Amino acid sequence: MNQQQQQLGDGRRHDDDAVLAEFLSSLMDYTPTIPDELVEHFLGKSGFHSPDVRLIRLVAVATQKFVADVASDALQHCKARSAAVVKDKKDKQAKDKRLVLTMEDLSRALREYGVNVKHQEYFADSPSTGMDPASREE
Amino acid sequence: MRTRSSLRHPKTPSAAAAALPPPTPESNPSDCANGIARIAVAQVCQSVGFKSAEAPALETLTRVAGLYLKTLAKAAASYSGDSNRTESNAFDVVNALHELESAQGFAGASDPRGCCLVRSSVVKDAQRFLNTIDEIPFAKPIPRADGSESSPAPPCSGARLRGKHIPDWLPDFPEESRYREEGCEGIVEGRDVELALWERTISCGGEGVGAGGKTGEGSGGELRRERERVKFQICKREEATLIAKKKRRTMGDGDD
Repeated sequence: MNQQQQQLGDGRRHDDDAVLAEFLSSLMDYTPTIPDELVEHFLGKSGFHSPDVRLIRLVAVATQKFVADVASDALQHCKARSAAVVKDKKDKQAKDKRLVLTMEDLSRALREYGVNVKHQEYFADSPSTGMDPASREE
Repeated sequence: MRTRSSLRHPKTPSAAAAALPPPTPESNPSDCANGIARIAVAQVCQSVGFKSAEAPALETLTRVAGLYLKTLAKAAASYSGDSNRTESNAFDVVNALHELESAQGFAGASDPRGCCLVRSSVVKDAQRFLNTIDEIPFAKPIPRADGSESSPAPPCSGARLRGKHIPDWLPDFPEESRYREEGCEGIVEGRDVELALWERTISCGGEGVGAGGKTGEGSGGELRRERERVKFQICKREEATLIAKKKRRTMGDGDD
């Protein structure tokens, strides 16, 4: 029984190795959006050294997936915010136009990934900007 | 005031698409990298479904993507360094991905026996991501830097060959003329290395000591055999002053 279990375990490990090797080889057939030159530039700056091009593609795909996940979360926030506002059918086109990546949606999406982004609402020219004229005179 | 940057439609890249401007000597490499990263991030946002993006939001997401890349690379490099390796492999990258995904969590992260790298759920998610999305190549061709610009020199330049035991990422050896002068080939023979170096540092003209102690011009560290003899006389003080005066007179006549 032990030998059979060990053989089964070896077989599974071999399959897993084959799956990983197949995935790495499939990366060469896929062109990620982030170009290899850019990835190599950032990898070189960080001290990563590897002659295998598949690893560069793996890092590029992982980064693209991360950006896509953040963007899709921001899109969900944007749609949820605009769904409460839009009521008429005529405003459907306006709804499509409102699919804008804003800092508000992006900061909410990034918070789930542990990135805190705080964006200034506005910048004032002087301390009295926006105050009532009466209080400004005082 | 909000400014919106329009995103290009990725499905129909026109043949007349303007290429990125070539890098100028004044341009910062990091600025070029940021520009390229911004375009790539904008393409990803458009593929997700956004029609446009605010400039600060796009800039922030680009910066976060760059930080993610650098953090991933640093983590992978540290994993390979902990294993006494200079070159990272796939398992280093997978471990780094686990480290970054631990904030959100992934399947198998709570396993007390440790995450199996071969059966990693993070890799499976990446595989699933590849199968679902369409291939979106980068919108613009990236210009290559000129040869005159700073680029890492090849590790083995010139005719000097290095052994395989020396990694490629180490700089090349200095030129021989910088640490070895001409005519000093025979000095090292029959001598320890330390002494040879000491002799070389003083001067290195002629044959030197290693050739049997022959007189050499400018051979440092060796006294010439033919030299003036210094005579010492033991005499009284008065006689010594008289002798000194005589010498001064003779030297003064000689000067005239």
